[in-house]
Amino acid sequence: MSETQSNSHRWTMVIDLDRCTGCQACVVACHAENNVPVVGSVEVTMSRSQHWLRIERYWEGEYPDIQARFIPVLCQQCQRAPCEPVCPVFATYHSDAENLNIQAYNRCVGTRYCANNCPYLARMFNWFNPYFPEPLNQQLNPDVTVRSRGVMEKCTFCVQRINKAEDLASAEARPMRDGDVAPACAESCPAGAIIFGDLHDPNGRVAKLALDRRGVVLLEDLGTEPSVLYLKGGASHAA
Amino acid sequence: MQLDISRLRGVRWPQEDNPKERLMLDPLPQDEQNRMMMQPMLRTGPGFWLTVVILGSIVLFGLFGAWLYMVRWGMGVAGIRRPVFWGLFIASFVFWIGISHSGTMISAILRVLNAEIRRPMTRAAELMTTFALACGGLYPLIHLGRVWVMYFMIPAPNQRGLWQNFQSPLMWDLLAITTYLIGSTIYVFLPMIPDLAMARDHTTGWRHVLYKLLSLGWRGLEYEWHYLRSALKICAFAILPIAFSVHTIVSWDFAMSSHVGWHSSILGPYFVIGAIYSGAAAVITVLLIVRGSMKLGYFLRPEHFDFLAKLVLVFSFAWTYFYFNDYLVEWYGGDWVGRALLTFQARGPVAPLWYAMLFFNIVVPWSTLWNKRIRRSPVLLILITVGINIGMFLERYIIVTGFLRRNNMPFDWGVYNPRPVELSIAASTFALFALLYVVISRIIPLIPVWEVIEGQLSHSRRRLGKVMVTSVAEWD
Amino acid sequence: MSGRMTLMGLYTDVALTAEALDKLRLLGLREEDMNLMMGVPYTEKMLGRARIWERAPWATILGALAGLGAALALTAGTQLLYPIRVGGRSLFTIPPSLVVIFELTMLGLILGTFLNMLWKDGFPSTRPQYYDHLINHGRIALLCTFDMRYEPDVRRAMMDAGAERVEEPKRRPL
Repeated sequence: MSETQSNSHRWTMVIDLDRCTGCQACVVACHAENNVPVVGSVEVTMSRSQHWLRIERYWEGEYPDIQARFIPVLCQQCQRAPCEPVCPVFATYHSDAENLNIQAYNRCVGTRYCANNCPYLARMFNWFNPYFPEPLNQQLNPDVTVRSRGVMEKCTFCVQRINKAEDLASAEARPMRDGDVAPACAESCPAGAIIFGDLHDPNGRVAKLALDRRGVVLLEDLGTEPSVLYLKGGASHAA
Repeated sequence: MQLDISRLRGVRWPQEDNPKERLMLDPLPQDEQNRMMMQPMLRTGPGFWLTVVILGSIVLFGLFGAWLYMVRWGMGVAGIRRPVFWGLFIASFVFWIGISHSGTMISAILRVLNAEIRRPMTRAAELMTTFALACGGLYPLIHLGRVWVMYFMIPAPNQRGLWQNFQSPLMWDLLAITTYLIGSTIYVFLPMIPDLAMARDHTTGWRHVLYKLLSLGWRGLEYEWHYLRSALKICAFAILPIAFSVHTIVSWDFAMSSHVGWHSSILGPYFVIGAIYSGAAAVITVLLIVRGSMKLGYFLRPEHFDFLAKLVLVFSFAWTYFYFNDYLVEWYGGDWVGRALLTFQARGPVAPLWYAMLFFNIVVPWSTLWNKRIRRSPVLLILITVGINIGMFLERYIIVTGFLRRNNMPFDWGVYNPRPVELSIAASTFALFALLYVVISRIIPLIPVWEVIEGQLSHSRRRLGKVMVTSVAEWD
Repeated sequence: MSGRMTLMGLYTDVALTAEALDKLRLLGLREEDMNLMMGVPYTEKMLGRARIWERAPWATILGALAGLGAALALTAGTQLLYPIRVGGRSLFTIPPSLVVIFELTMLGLILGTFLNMLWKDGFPSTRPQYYDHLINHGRIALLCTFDMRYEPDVRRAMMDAGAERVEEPKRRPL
């Protein structure tokens, strides 16, 4: 399927922090799209909340000049991912076809080394079997595996949507266009803060936004070469 | 006029120590030594069975029962969480692999250096290695999220055509621990063959059959001895780099990560020294217990524990040196996360454990083991060495679970507390080790009598000037 | 009419055994006809024996090479069979492979040494053999095979050297 496509995609997500309101719509959309379970309040108090995309909230300043800063953090889909070399069974590896960091659920034995090695703490572990109380189990996305306990998971850039878009483009015998693929978070953001696309598409929005002088990358000095670009430094944030 | 030197004040003539105190100068006929070795091995009284039943129950319920519970319900019943994805299990794992360096230190290094003092201790220490590896080797299985597919980690052809990632330190762990287990089993088995032959000649029934099989038909012919000794020499040399590599590779589980506190190039040698340190202390503990419970006072004498305690003191210096190195580098030139980590270590919830570790690992041995009388006192030595191992366990606990609580993303800094499942499994592993050791002590002769006799034949006393000195012959 | 027979003498001391060996050599027994069984490894020099053993530990080296081969198969070979890319690195990385190469080479080394010892010694063996349990009690047993005609001379030589007893041994199961 994808072998016939050119694998020169560089799927990139641009998150505009100046637009993010911290509303968590993206978090909920991700849960819905990717069959991410709700772990319950007890587990959350044990810091086992399971969000593929989380909103990190930092407070800045002293009262009454307090500001809340929101950073949506997800798997950065690093080109030099530190999580990949440490998995003993190749459950996480770099896919040449999609140029993404893949998590193979049925290969994962659950050593959790990858989670320890991720500097962005982007990986979530299934501590128990997921529980989808009625009627939530009818909402599960058939395109996405439901993971059992003992398996690692993380944001996949909605790879099932990418694959569907690629299939559609190939069925229609045309190259992929900007806007063909929208992960659940990008689709649901009311502020339009998340833009997703192919960096190698010269006409795409992502390629243009990548040149924005506000662009920063998380933990750049670690050299992981993430695929998520944050735009920061506009009006709502002090420089 | 003769000067009576002995009347001069302040002059003390050295007391001639009783040569019979030393095992090498107190020879007994081989058949009597054999008997002294065989008797406690064959004696399985009610005390032994009670011990076995109690330890067995602890292992059955506390270890395997708790493990089964965790396998049934999921890793969530343990205390691990995000960001502390590795907890008490991995700390225990590193601890037991560290203990496994006990045998190698005593047996291989001292054999390579031809240190005569090693003679009665080698096998008891090497068996500790084997069982510590067996106990530690459970943990890579225990801590797996899906242990029922652990065979994914075994490099063997399969119908998926999938292989393992040999760039992963966990695969290096697998190979290193397997190599060390096989190597140390061979290394403990080789010198055991003549003693197993001796046991074969003196037992009947199932024991005779067992020893007959295990001793492989050994008769003591010249060529048998030649091949045994040359194999032993090669294995002693070979097991040393293996032992160094095993704990280095275990340390690389942490050092290969870019995590703060873990990503340190000193972790390799630091862990090896820590392993040798805790292993040597554990040897003292176990040998003192063995000596008392099996009445092996002829073979294991104060001189041996004196020597081992001196080694432990030297290792405590080395460990402190490496620890301070690691600490100072992070304290001085580390980035803000490193500094936050060190502050957390000194003032956060693990601070009492950190201070306890420094106390047990530095203060206790430095203040006691320089004293000869303390080194020759079994009770004090057991307390000191158990304390050292408590300190070393705390050190592993802090490195594994403590350091994971701080990272580059402050929103995701965390907390860790072990839960009953983890505590039960970790504590019951000690029972498993004790159980294995107690059982093996009734099956395998713990003292290599032929090596003791070989040493006793080499030692003699001769006059050098005004004193009698011990003289050791070099055989080959 | 003259076949070969075996006698076994028990000695309490290495010096007596060496003397017995000398006497038997004077009688014309060859080195291969005389075998010793001991509970403690006295060296050949102590007993006046000269043997040339192998000069190089071939089994050790072969085992190490086998280990090396296995390591290369696992690190490079598996990536040739099923290439999977991780961490933005190339498929064949040298530093991690060195770790695997070291471990498996050492494993092969030790296994080669051990298996070679088993093979050379003929272990495991449960056939009935000449043996005396007193060997593990500090005695040295001297087994000599010779022409039956010389039995009285050999017996006398062994007794003169100070044997505790000299007898015709039976092959018994160990």
